[in-house]
Order: sequence, then structure tokens, then C-alpha cells
Amino acid sequence: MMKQKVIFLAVTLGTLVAIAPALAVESAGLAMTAAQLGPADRAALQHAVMADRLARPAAYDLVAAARGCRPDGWKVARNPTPVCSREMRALGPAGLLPMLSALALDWQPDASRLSSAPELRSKEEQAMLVAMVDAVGILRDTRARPVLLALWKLAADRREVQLPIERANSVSRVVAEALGRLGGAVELQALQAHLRAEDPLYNAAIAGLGWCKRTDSAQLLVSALAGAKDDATQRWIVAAMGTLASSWSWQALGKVREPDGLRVRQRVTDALLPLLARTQGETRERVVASLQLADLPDLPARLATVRATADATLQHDIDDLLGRYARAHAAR
Amino acid sequence: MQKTLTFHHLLSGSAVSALALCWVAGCGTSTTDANAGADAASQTGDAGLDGTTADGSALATPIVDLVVDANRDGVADLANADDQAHGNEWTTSFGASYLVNLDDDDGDKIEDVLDTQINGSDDALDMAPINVAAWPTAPDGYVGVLQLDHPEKVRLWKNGDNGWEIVAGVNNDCVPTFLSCTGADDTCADTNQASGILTASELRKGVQLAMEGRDFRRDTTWDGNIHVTMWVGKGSDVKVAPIPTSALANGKETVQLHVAPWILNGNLTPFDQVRSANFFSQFVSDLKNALGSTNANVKYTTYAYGESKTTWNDAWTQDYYQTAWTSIPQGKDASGNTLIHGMRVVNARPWGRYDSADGSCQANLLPVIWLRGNYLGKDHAVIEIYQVPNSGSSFDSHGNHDLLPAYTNGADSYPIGRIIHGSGILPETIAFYDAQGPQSPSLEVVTDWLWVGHVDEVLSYVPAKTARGWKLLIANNNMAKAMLQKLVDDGHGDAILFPGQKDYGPNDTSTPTLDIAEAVTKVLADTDLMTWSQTAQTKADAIRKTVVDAVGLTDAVTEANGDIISMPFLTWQQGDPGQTGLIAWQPGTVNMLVVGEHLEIPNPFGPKVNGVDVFAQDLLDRLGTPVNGLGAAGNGVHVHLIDDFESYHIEAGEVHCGSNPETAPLASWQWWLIAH
Repeated sequence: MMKQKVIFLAVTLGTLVAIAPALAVESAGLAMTAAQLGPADRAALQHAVMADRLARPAAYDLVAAARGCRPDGWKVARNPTPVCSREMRALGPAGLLPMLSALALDWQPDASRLSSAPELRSKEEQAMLVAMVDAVGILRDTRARPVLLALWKLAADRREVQLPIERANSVSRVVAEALGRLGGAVELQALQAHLRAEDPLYNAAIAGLGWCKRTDSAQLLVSALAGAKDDATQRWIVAAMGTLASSWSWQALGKVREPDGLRVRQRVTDALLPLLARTQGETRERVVASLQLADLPDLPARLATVRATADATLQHDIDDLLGRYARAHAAR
Repeated sequence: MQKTLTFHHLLSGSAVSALALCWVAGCGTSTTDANAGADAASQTGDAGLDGTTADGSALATPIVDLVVDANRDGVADLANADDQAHGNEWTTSFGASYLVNLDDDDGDKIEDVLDTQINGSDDALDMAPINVAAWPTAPDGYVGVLQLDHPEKVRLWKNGDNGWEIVAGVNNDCVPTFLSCTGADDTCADTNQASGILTASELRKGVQLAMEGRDFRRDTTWDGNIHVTMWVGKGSDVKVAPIPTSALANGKETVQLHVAPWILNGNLTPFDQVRSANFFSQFVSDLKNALGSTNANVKYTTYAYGESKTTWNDAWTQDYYQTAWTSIPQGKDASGNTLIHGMRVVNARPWGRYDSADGSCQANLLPVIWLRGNYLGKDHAVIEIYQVPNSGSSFDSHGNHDLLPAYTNGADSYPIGRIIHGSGILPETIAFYDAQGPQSPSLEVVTDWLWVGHVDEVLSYVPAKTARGWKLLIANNNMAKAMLQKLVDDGHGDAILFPGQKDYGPNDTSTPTLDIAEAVTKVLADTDLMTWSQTAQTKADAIRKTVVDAVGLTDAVTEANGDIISMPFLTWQQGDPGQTGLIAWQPGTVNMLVVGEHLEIPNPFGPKVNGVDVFAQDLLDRLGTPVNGLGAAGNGVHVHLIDDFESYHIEAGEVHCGSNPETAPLASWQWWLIAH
């Protein structure tokens, strides 16, 4: 790392900018090669990174071997497995370009601090990758768009195996959620392109839509729900609808987004209420949870209507949801 | 090498054990009678050694009489009508029980049950008495046969012509290595014999037997009962089950003993000891001070954290072992108090930590190895419930396994609590729990949405002045958000959460340096944090429903009117490449240590208004005052705020995760009175 710093300090910005595109094509990040970015995107990112690196070289050391992904960190962690999303998120906006650089342009790990055993080293780098994509997504900075879209395309090309398990934290899921958080029309389109049930990125795309705070995301999820081929898929979509409709998240976005939020919450609630009577067990619990997240003001009244014709079990579940609603609003 | 002491030596020694005395007392008359009988036998004589006597009465009316401690007074008394009448039953009223002898009374670091010795007088106390009445006129050549229906589960000892020796059951030394990362622990196999012999000489004198348990019920395929059947006869075929025709008529009796279950501790257990690692000085100091103020004589001990042979590399004390005990009844004292005998039995987690050198599994880092070396001792035992070392996951850490305090809900009654656990635990663990009986069937709640995945991240239990005697504490994001919103509404939106606290930055090593103070307004504007927190609320509410339905708790919107107390904190998401899940963002205050009426709660480090931490004050107000009727008297409990922020909180846990309380077997938890 010290050698790296000396080089950067020894040359002028102008020189670096001049040679950057040529270097970038051949360089490789942790998640992709620079060549997998379009030329313009690659150049823009390269220029931004080099300027930033000159100004704040130390910031780039921080993404070389984060504590939770180093053996001295993860082996003393509660569950001894590499994870460093906490540290990567903590970098905040200042971490954007260092992370994008590490992901797409120039991954220079601090090898002396990572494991030497190849299998462990691979796990640590995979954890770094997931953590950086997660942290980049949370920043919601459009400068990340080219990298995230390229990663999404790579995920599609690599035919990553679809993991229906909801706890699974595949790279494709993290990338999809990062795209969703960016929330532009381009990202929506990228996610929508994989909404065929047989698509390997289907589950990831659904998860991504859950974080895409747009009214058209709600419509896409409602349509997907109608075509859900099994209970597990149905639950997965219902969960994403709940994430999208979360009343707290729309409140956090501020007054200006309130109308959109209300439309999404209503659309989700309209779609989920009929499912109460058509589902049971784990799937019904998921429907209850997502209705709870949507948290519409008229939910109690609408639940009362459903309850009037419900069997005893459903009545019990509706009463439970009404209790959740009452407690939530009493707490406010 | 085992320190060998025979029971004969124990009984004739100067330091005779209480049980030995008890047995002598219970059998004294029989011993005298046996001697008299032997004399009588020699007097009447079996002249032809063919089983006939001068008057033929010996064979016409053989004495086959064995008794167990069916009336649960600690003595197998041949003269006691209840012991005689109820020897072959197991009900809440009558029936004998025996201990699984997993402790190490002679301090050789080998479980007493693994060798073929009686390891001192304390070891003798761990065995259940059975007495065989003397048949004074038993003719020479005749034998008594003792038959076990499950010889693989016990050792049956006799104090016969050669002193104490194994007469049936597992009859070899078999000490597993426990040193395996992936395979079975055992490097030897048990051998056992279904039946054994009492000689004519022994029959004439009467015989003391003792049953030593080898293992708890692992599942419900075995009902936990061991039947001992005795018959007498002569000839080579008399030893062969089923009872041969050569056995004497009117000469058979069967008794049974029930294996004492493994009993899990819970928050309302009157603990006598708490352990933690010594790794985090602030945490240790705070916990020591808090426990020192309980006036409950709770011993607090720490172990050295590290990776040498004298230290242990796991500071998550709650996770790598689970405290419990086992006991058998021993009657009552002069004041009518129930007496018991038993031992603590901790359950080792199936997986260990990595060795820092190369990251590979090291069998000597399995919790069972540490526990056998550092916990195993007199009346302190260790058990492995898992089948394969290094199996399982975070769900199998014992923060995910807890005990609902005692309750009755309609026909469901759990007088000593009910095991509750979260998602994903090994099937053999559930089978073990559900086979124990008094605290089962276990109740599962869904915790797979949590990154760590433990039930103690969501639920806790505290004493309260209610008919049930306790209230449920539950994680509550609603309340946390409302409290923060109120600060904003009151003009304190710039107040700071986590003042002065640090988190790990990417380049940190062992000391966190990252300032993470966050203004309330910024927290409420964090879309991700709000989404995660509201999602966590839905998940906690689902757990709430499961517990309310099972226990019959009153779930009132107004907290003081119900049985559920909210513990406010927000939640966020963490993820590694394998999985993602939610975890406390603010200190998870529900994840506390409860010792009597003292709650050791993670310091919330909430925003301060006029110098007062509003989250800490909220806990003091709602838990430490009469407002919610907590504590046996309803006046509130003692709240101790423990600084675990830079030790456990930022490492994905809290106070409960970093500590582990235990107690000796409780006479008040009378499992034998519970029908299930």
C-alpha cells in the first residue's frame, strides 16, 4: 500500500488523467474488469477516482481489507465468518468512489492482512464485495449507476443460481437492491427485464423492486404476485411488497413523496387484502406483515369487512393484525 | 487412571456417605435378617444340592422381593408399604427415578459414568438404590437372575460376594475422545449384558443394587423407564430370557425406574452463579457491580479469554453452553422441605470457533472440550446433544434456546416452565428437548429473520406481581420510533444517539475508533433504517402472537393492563455473503441478564435531553417503578445499565449473549409431579 501511495504522490494529476483510460481497460476490480464498463462510463469513473484518490489517498486504504473481513476481525466475531457491511456503510458518502474503484477498476487488497489460505481469502473477498455493493446502494448516488448496471448484467450473464431462500444474500440480490435504491427509470427497467418466472435473476429482481420507491414498482409487484407459481414465490413477492409499502420508509422520504407513498401503500393493500382468505400459515403471516407495513389509515375498517365473512382462524389472525395496528398507533 | 473405591470400602470407612448411611438404615434389618437366614439355610441344609430341602418349603415359597424408592424418600425400603406396592409404576404419585451420572466426582476429568468404577462416596450418591430381600433358605445351586429391558442405557451394580461390581447393563470402560471435527466422538463401543446373576450366597443375605444412568432420553422412542426383572431358579437355562420354565414358580418380580430428565434454567431460576469472559473490562466491571448489589449471594466468575490452553477463545458465554440440571427426589427434611440430589448438566454447542492460525476446524476448540476441562467436576456435568461435531449454525448457539417461565393456559400446564427456541436448530436437539417431558413439548418461534437468529434478541421474562408471576419483555421498534419522533416534536431533533460511543472502522483492529453519534432527525429520515425497523416490528409481532396464544398472556394496548412490556430499540440489517438478516441497531435492551429482581440491561446510550438519556430513563420508569407491576411485590425491579456497546453490541450481541447464569438443582422444581 505504501508503494501505491508513493506512486500517486509522485506524479501529477494531469499525467494520471492522460493515461487513465488505457490503464483502466486492463485493470480489474473485485467484481468486474474495467473493460466491462462502457468506455465513457469507465473514463468518467476513472477520472473521478483519480482526482479523489489524490485528494484523499487514505480513504482508499479503508476498502483494502476491512476489519470484519480480515481474519483478525472475523475470527473473533460472534459467528466466525467474514462480514464487513457495518464498516463499509460507516464510510458514508466519502466511501463511494473508493468502493466503486475497488469494485470495478482497481482492487488492491491488503493481502498481508487477509487470509493466506485460498478458500478463506475467497470468502473474505466475497464478503468485501457484498458489503461494498450494499454500502454503495445505501448511498443512493447516481455515480454508482454504471457499475451497478454492469454488475447486474454480469449476474445475468453468469447465470447465477437462483436462491429462493429468503435469508440468502447472493450477490445478485444485493446488486438488485442497490439498483432498486437508486430508483431511476433505468434501474426499474433493468429489474423489470428479469421478471419472467424462469429467469435466474427473478428473485433478485423482486427483492430489488421492494427497494425501488416508485408507484410503477408497486404495479410490477402486483402483476408478479398474480403470476406467482408457488407459495414460496408468493411469499417472496408479498415480502417485497411490504418493503416497498413500508409507511415508515415513506415518512422518512419526507412530505414531497407522501402522495407517491400513499398510492403505493393503497395499491399494495388492495392486492393483499383478498389474499388473507386465500392463504394460510406462513404465507398468511407474510400477508399480515406486509399489510402491517403498508399501514393504511383505513386498514381497520377494511379488515372489519373481511372479518365479517372469515372463518375462526382468519378472524383470529385479523384480530391479531388489528392489535398490531392499534399498538403501533398507540405508540405514536 | 481411576481412583478405585469399592462400595464395600465406602460403607466400612469412617466417612460414610449420607446415602450409604441411608442404605444401611434402610437395609439394616434385612442385613441382620440375611445373616440370620444364611445361618438358617445352613441349619436346614440342602443336603443333596439339588434344590430340595428337608421340608421342601424353600422351593415352594422362594423369596423374590426387590424394591425401589417408589415413595421418593431417598430409600429403597423393603419394609415400606409404598415402596413395595408401587415398585413397578411411574406416576406423579409414585415411582423411582435415577440420575444420569455424567459428573466427575473424583476429579479425574472423566465422567463417572464412562468408567466401571464407583468413583468415591459422592459418586455413590449419584446412583439409585434397589434392594433385594434376603431369601434365607435359598438352596445352594440356585441363582437369582436380574434382567434389564434396556441394558444399553444403564449400569446395574450389586454389592455382592465380591463387593460392588457391575451385574448388568453397560459393562466396559468406554471413554470417547471428544476430539473430532466432523465424525462421531466415540473411539470405543459399549458392550452390555442384559442380565446378571445373584449367587445363592447373595440371595440368602439379600443384596443391595444400584442403578447408574448412562444417558438421558434422546427422543421419544424410549419412554425413559428401565425395568428390572428378577427370578430365581437352577440350571444352565435359567439365565436366559424370557423367563425359562426352569425358574421357580411364584418367584418373579419386576420393578422400574425412570430416568431423571434434564431440566433447563430460565430467567426466573434463582441463580447462584454467573459467568462471562474477562475480555471486556467495562462490561465485566459493570456486571460485577450489578451482581454485587443483588444481595442474592450470586457468585460472578470470569474466565480468561484467549487461545492458549489455559484460556478460551469465545466471549459469547451464553452461546457455547446452556445451563441446566438433573435431580431425583430424596424425601423431605424434618421441616417438610423437599430434598433432592442431582447435578448441574451443561449442554455444549455443536460447533467451535476457528483456530486463528489457519482457519481450519480444530477439534480441541469444540465447546465440549473446554467444558470437560474447565466445568466438569463434582456435581457438574457436561452433555452433548448433537450427533455430529461441528454441525449446526448460529441457531444452535444457546441464545436461541430459552425457557418460558411457569404457566398454565387451559389444559396446558408447565409448572417449571416450557422450553422455547427459535428457528433452525438441529433436529436432534428438538427431539431431546421434547423427550425430557416436564418442560416440553418445546415452543418454536420464528427467528430466521434475524441475522444472528436468536430468541433472546426479541424476548425476555421478568418477575411480576401477577397470578402467573411474570411478564414478557419484547423488542419494540414502534416505541423506539415514537420516542424519537416525540423528541423531534418537542424540539430536540438535534439530540444525539450513542453519544461518545465508537464503532469499528475498516482499519481498526481491536479497538473501535469510529464516531457514530447520530442526530435524531437524521435517524428518522433514514429510509433504510426505517424500513428495517418496521419490518422487524412485524416479525416481533408474529413472535408475540405465538407466545400469547401459547401462554394465554393478556395483550393489552395499554401496557400496564397487560402481561407484555415493550423494550424500545430500532433495528437494521446486516449481511454476509451467506445470509442477511436483521439485528438491533440501538443496543437491544431486551437482551438482558435477569437475576432475581435485578435486570442487567444494555445501556441504550440514547439521546439526552437536559442531560437525561430518554431511553435509559424510560427503562427506569417503566421497569423500576410500580407502573407496570414488575417484581414479586409489584414495586418494580432493579435496573442496572451495563455498558456493552463497544464490547458486545457492535459485535452483534448484548448482555445476555455475553453472560451465562446457572444454579444447582432446585428442590422447588419438582419435575416428578408433572404428568407430561
